[in-house]
Amino acid sequence: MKTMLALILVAMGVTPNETTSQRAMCAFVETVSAGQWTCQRLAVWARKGHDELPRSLASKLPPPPAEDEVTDTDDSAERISNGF
Amino acid sequence: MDHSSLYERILKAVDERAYFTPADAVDPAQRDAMREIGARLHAPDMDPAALRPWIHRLHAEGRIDRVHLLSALHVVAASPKVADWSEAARLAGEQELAALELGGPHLDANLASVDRHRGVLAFLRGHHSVALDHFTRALERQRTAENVGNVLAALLKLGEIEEAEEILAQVRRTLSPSMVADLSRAIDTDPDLAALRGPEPL
Repeated sequence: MKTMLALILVAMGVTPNETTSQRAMCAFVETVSAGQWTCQRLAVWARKGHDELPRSLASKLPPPPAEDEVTDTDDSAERISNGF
Repeated sequence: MDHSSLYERILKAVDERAYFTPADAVDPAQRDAMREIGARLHAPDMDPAALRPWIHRLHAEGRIDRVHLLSALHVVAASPKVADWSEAARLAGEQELAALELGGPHLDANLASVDRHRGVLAFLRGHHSVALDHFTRALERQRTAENVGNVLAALLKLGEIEEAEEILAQVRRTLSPSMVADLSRAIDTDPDLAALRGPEPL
């Protein structure tokens, strides 16, 4: 999972200390969140390809890593409904 | 390039968006207040230290009863940004007692809320079979799309795909059309329920 995120960040030119890159990072998070792209779904995408990814984001991404490169999914978000 | 802080921020943002707090099944008299709480909980600048007194104020103003006060405080404690599990568990227990003392026509719904909260705690701590027990009890008490969705999510986590599909088929026959539509939307958008997507509409 982190390997894939690293690829995405690098592909988008994100670095920790640059304002423009911070904006890029925020845009990425917004895209992921608005489209309900949880970590699990990103991991699925990483394994299966990025056909489902929004075109605006997909055009900025490198090819997904090979399946054997994506091994760390323990940091996945747990998506659950805790209604009142 | 040091990506560790970026990872943390991104994963934190994604985690926070993966935690849902619908108020659709809440008593209509208290629903708007609970929706306001949910909205504030999910605000980017949410501060639990400020949110809790505001929730208490809603209770003092009579907009929410004690059961919903404790439910809201639990939902805050169990949220990814706070993740205070012992406090969340304590509040669920207190909510159960408050529901029993209140009684009345909303007893089943109030106890279903407690079951759901306990299930979420177990789910978030990785005890999916325990979570399934609580979610099933919540569904028995209150038949809502949210409770069905949580049962299905727990079953899929446990690898019980066939059983999840059977429940889904049963839901098609027994739940109201609006609930089936709600559940269908959840399955279409929730990656945890992706295994239940099929060529046939619900």
